[in-house]
Amino acid sequence: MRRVFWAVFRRELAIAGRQRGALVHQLLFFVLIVALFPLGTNTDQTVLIAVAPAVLWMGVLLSVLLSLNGVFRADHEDGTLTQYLLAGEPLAVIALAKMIVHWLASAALLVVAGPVLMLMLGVSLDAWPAMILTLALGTPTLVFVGAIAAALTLRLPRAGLLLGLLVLPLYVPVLIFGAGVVRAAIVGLPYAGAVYIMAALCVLAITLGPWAIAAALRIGLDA
Amino acid sequence: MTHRLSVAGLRCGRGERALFAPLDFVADDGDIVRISGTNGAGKSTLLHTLAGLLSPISGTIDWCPDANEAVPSLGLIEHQNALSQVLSPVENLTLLSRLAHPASRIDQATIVDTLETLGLRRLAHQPTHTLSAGQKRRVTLARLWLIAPRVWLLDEPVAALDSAARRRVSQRITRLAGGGSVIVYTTHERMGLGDTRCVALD
Repeated sequence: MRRVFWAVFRRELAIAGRQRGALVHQLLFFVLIVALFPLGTNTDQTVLIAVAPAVLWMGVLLSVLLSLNGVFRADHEDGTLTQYLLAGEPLAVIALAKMIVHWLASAALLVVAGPVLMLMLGVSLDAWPAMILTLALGTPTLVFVGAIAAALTLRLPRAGLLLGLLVLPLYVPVLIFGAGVVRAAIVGLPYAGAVYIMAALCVLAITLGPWAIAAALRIGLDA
Repeated sequence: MTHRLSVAGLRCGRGERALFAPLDFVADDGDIVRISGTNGAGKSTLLHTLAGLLSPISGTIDWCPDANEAVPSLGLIEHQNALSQVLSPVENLTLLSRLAHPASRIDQATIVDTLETLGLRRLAHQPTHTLSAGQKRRVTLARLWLIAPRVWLLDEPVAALDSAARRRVSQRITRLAGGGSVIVYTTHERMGLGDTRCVALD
């Protein structure tokens, strides 16, 4: 089981390494969303600081959503997915390896970029730990939950919009707690409780997500 | 006597509509089963159903498992080559052979040797998207040399291959059947295999 996990892990890492352009695009998309926002509102510092957590988290949600659209598509089109389905090992192990690499290659960049963009919006350095912590706990949840819907819509042509409709409502808890923690940190309130809830969601998504992804992939192919 | 594979009253298709009349056949170790039928007759669907990827509309498929659990029961080569375009043939085959034989070590040298017998030594480390259609097909067919399942399901194995490569693949398939594997394949080409059973879809 471990051998198959590492074989898929290395393969995905090699593919991600050779498609670095896609990673840069995703990062630029996130930066643009956040950077354009102040241009549309007045640049009053208090307004910007008040909306900064929401803007940053919406940017993260949309970037993750975009990256998920193609996460299984290449494997489906070239037939690798069929070989995964026929492998003697649980499909969930393969899904876990794929999603970990996907997080490393795309969402991990957002964890680094988020706090930097937060400074750009004028938020003080005091809120940095809260921002980094919530991004580190929130993005795996977003990736694993979103991948379930991506697996379900795999067989549908042009499923991009449908994927958003399915996934964004599921992202509400992460948005509420993520932005809430950062807001609390900005005004100096305690936020440990919400962080624990985000950690619990993250553990739940990583442990149960792969099984749901595997089931969704099987349903998708038997149609 | 139990057969390696026995199919009774099998109807399959995607969705509710069956693609062909109920099918009955059996296959034993060493059999080469040719599935014939026109385009759209349901040959690929039948192979997918035999592989367990689709559920049959009605009828039964019985596989007799191998006593030796280390032998993978089934290998499938589809129309799609299962090769990532950005990886090299060696990288692709490393994953594919690991999926089939998680325990054994199929090292890079073995894979390169196999690619050499198929005339791809020079391209072994090039990105797959630089290969021609026939070369990609040869890379994916290298699995016939690397992986040793009890049953091979081959969907149009020699499509896009030149006559020399086609002959080599036919020889390999004959040898696998001689070694006791069951081969179930579809083709529109002349492959010169000594088919032991034929199944026509209509």
